[in-house]
Amino acid sequence: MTARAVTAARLESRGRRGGRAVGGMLVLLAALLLAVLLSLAVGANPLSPATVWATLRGDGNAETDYIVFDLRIPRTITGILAGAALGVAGALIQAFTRNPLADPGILGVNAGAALAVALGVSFLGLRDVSQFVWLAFLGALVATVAVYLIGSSGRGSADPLRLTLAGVALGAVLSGITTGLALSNPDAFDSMRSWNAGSLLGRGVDTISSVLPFVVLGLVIAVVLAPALNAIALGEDIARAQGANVAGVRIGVVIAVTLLAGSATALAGPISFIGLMVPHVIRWTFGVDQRAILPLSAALAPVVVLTADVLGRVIIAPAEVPVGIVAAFIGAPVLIVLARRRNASAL
Amino acid sequence: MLRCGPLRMPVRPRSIAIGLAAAAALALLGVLSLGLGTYPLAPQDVVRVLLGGGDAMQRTVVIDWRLSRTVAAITIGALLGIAGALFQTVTRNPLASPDILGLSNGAFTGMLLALIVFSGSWPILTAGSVIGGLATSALIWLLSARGGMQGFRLIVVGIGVSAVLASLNTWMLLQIELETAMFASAWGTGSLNGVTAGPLAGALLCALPFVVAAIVLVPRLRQLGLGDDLAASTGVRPPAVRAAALLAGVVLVAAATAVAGPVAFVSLAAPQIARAVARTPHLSLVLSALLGSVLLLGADVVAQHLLPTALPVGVVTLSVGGAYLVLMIILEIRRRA
Amino acid sequence: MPLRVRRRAASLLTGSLCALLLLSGCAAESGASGDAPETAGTHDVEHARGTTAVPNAPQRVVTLEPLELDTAVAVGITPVGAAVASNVAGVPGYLEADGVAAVGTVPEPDLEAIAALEPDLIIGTESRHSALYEQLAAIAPTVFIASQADPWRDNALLIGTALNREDEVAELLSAVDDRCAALADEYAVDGETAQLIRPRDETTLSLYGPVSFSGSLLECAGFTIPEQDWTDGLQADISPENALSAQADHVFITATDVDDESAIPAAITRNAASFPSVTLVDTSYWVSGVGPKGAQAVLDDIESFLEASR
Repeated sequence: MTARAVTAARLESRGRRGGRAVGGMLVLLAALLLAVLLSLAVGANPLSPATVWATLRGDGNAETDYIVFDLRIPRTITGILAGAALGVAGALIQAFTRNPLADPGILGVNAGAALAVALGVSFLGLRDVSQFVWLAFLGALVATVAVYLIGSSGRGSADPLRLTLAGVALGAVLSGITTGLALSNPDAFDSMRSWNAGSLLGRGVDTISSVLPFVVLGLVIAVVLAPALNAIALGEDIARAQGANVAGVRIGVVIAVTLLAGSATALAGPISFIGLMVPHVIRWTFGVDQRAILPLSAALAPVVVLTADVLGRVIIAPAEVPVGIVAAFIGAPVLIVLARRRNASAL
Repeated sequence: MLRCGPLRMPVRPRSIAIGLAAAAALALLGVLSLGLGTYPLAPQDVVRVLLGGGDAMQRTVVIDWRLSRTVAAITIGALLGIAGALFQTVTRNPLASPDILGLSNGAFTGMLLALIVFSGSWPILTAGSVIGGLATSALIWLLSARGGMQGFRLIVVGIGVSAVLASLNTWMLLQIELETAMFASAWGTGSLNGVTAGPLAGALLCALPFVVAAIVLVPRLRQLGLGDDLAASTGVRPPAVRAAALLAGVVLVAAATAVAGPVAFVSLAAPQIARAVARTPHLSLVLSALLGSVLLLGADVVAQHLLPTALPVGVVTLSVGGAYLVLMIILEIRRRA
Repeated sequence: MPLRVRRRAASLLTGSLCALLLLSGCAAESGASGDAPETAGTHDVEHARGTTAVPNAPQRVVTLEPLELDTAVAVGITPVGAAVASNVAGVPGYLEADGVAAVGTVPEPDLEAIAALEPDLIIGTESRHSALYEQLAAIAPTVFIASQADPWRDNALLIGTALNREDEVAELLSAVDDRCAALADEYAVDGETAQLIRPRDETTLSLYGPVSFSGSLLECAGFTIPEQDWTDGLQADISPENALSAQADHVFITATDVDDESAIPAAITRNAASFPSVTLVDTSYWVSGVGPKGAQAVLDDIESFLEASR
C-alpha cells in the first residue's frame, strides 16, 4: 500500500477514533492539572504543600513568597505556554514537511534566536535573560522570514522540501556565526551555554503576558488550518479538488509555526525536542487526523515540559538541572520505546 | 560508461567538468593555505618548496608547520564527503548526516567524559571521542535492529539518542570551568589546530579499506534506489548492503573525528552541493569527496586567515557550507521557474 | 555468505589494526621529549613532558595560560607574547602589563605568531596544549605545567623554576599569606561570615568554597565561609529557591562591571532583608586571575572593603 492509501484509510477510520481522541484529551488535561500542582508544590527548596498553600493564601513569609510567587508560579505559566506552543508547532511542521527529522526549529527559529542572543551579549552587553526575550523573538522572526524568502526564491510558493533545506542551510550559517561569537568572547560563551540548556525562569509575568497574544494567534491559525492539512495529507491534487487552497495553507503554516516556535524559544530557550517528540507520540496513539493531533499535542507538550522542569528541580537539589536537558532525557527514551514497539509509521 | 573489471560507473560530461573544476579549486586553495600566515609565501615559492626546492626557512614553514594541516583538510574533507553520500543514499533523506547515527554528539560526549574523568591529554581525548562515536552508533544500531536499516525506526531512534547526548553535552559544558568549556567546545565544532602527521596517517590508513568498500557498494546502493524487490531479484541483498554502507560511513567519520573532532556540516552539505552543481540524479562519491575537500580546505583558509580572530574550522564549515547550500537552493529554484 | 563472512572478518581485522596504528602513532608523538644536555647558560627543568634545558635569564617569554602570565609579570618578566582568554578582552587589566602581544587564545594558540616573536622560552599547559608540544619545542625550549586545575601555588613554583626565579615566586607566595594574616589581625573580623557568589544563570548560583582561589583568601583574611556541600571544597551550586542558604554577613558577587548594580541577581535583591551587605567584585581577578598578582589584587579589594566598613 502506498503511503497515501494508508493515510486515506486512517482518515476513514477517524470516526471511530473521534471518541478515543476526546477520552485522550480528558486524560491529558487531568495530567496537566497534576503537573501544575506538582510544579507549585515541589522544588529545590523542600517546602511542604501546606506551606505552599498558606503562601498562596497570603500567609507566607518573605522567603516563601519569593519562592512561590517569584519563581514557581511564573515558571509554571511559562511551561504551559511554551509547551503548548511547541507541541502545536511541532505537529504543524511534521504535517507540513512530512519529514520525521523536522522539529519546530527547522525553519530557523532556534538559530535566529540564538544568534540574536549572542549578538546582544557580545555587542549590547546584555546579561539578563529577561532582556533576551524580545531579542530572541526578533531573531526568530527574521530568520524564519529569511528562510521563507530563500526557500521560495521569488516563486512565492512554500514548497516544504525547499523550505526545510533552506531552514537547515540558513540555520547552519547562523549557527556558525553564533559559535564564532561565543568562542571569541567568554561572556557570550557563558551566556550561550546557559541559553542552550533551556530554562523556564527569569521571565517576569509582564514578559510572559506580552508574548501571550502571539501564542494565541498562532494557535488560532493552527486550528483553522487543521482540516485543510488533513486534505493535503491525501495529496495536493486531491486537496485542490476538494477545494483546499494549498498555497495559502502552506503560508499559513509557516506563519503559525513562526509565531508559536518563536514565542516558545523566546520564552524558554531551545527546547524544541519536545516539539519533535510529542506529535510523534500523539500520532502513534491517536491516529493521523490533524484536528485531533493539534489539541492533543497542545495538551501533552506542557505536561512533558512541566514534568521535566519539576524533575530538574529535585534530582540534584539544592541545585537544578535545566529543563531542556531533562526534557531530552525523559522524552527520548519514550520516543525510542514507542518507535520500537508500535507499528510506527512514517508520516 | 566506464568499465573496470566488475565495477561499472556511468559518467556524465558535466560531472567530469565539475570534478576537474573542484580539483583545480583544491590545488589553488592548497597553495593559498600553504602560503598564508605570519610568514607569507608567494604561490610560486610554495610550488617550488613542494617540488623540492626553496630555502631552509621556507621549507620549515611549509613542510613542518603547514603541510600536515593542509593535507588533513583535504583528506578529512574527502572522508566526510564520502560518508555523507553513503548516509544520504542509504536513508534516502537529503537531511541525513552521520549524526543520525549520533556520531558527532557521541564523539563529543566521549571527549567530554575523557576530559572530565581523566582530565586527559590529547591521545586520551582522541580515544574518548572515537569510542564515544562508535559506541553511540552501536547503541542506535541495536535499538533499531528490528526495523530494518533504512527504516523510519532508525531515524527516530537516532534522533532520540542524539538528543539525549546533546543534552548530556550541554550539561557537562555547564559543569566545567569556563576556559575548559571553551576549549572543549572549540574541539567540538571541529578544529584542525595541532594536527600532526602521525595521527593523520594512522586515521587515513584505517579509512582506506572503507573508502574502497564504499566505491564497491555504491552501484548496489543505487540499485536499491529502484526498489528493494527489484534489487533482490538482481542478486543484491538489501539489508546487508545497507548495513555495510552504514558501517563504512561510521568508520570514515570516526577516523575523521579522531583527527579533527566532529567537523560540522561537511557530510551533510558536500553531497547535496555536488548533486545540485552537477545536476545528477544520484549522489556521486567522487564529487562528494572532492567537494568535501574543497569545503573543508576553503573553510580552514577562511577560519585561519580571513577572520578578525582565528576560529576553529568547524565554525566556518557551518557558515560556509550553509551559505553554499542557500545559494544552491536559490539557483535551483530560479532555474526551475 | 562467504563474501559476507570474509568482509566482516576483514573489517574486524582492519579495525583492530587501525586502533593499534592510531594509538602507536599517538604514542610515538608523545614519546619524543626534549633531551638536550645541560649547556652553559641553561638549567634543567623537570615538567609534565620530561626534562628540558631552559635559559637562565629568559628575555623573550611566551605564556599560554593566565596563571603563567600572572606569575611571570609578578616576578618582573613581561612576556613578549601571551595566549589570552578572550580576543575581546585581551590581556587582563589588573596585570598592568604593556607590550604583551596576543598569540591566539588559550584553547587555540597561534603557532606562527609565537614563532614570529622568536621566543627563548615557552610555557604552556599539558591538559590544554598537549597536541602542540612537539611543534612548540621546535620553536623554543618549552615547559608544560600538568594542569591548570592543580593547586595554583604548586604550579606557580614550577613556573618560577622555569623562569629561574623560583625563590622570588616563593617569596611572593609567602607575601600573600603574610599580608592576609596582617589583614586578619588588623581588622579582627573573626566570627563574621562571608560568601563569594558567582551568578551563572537563572537557575544556578555558584558559591565558592574555602579551597577555591578567592575563597581561601577571604578565609585567611579572617572571614568564615558558611558550610555547604562543596565539591572538593571548591564550589557548590544552588537553585535560586535556596538563595537563603548563601546567607552570610557579607556577600561578594562577581561581575564583569563592578559599577553595574543590575548584575546583582534577583534572588539576592528580592531577599534583601537577608543580605545586608552586598558588594560587587571583578570576575577577571576574583575568579580568573589566579596567580600572585591576582591574589594581591583580591587582597586590595578585601582591604578597601574592610577599611570602608570599619
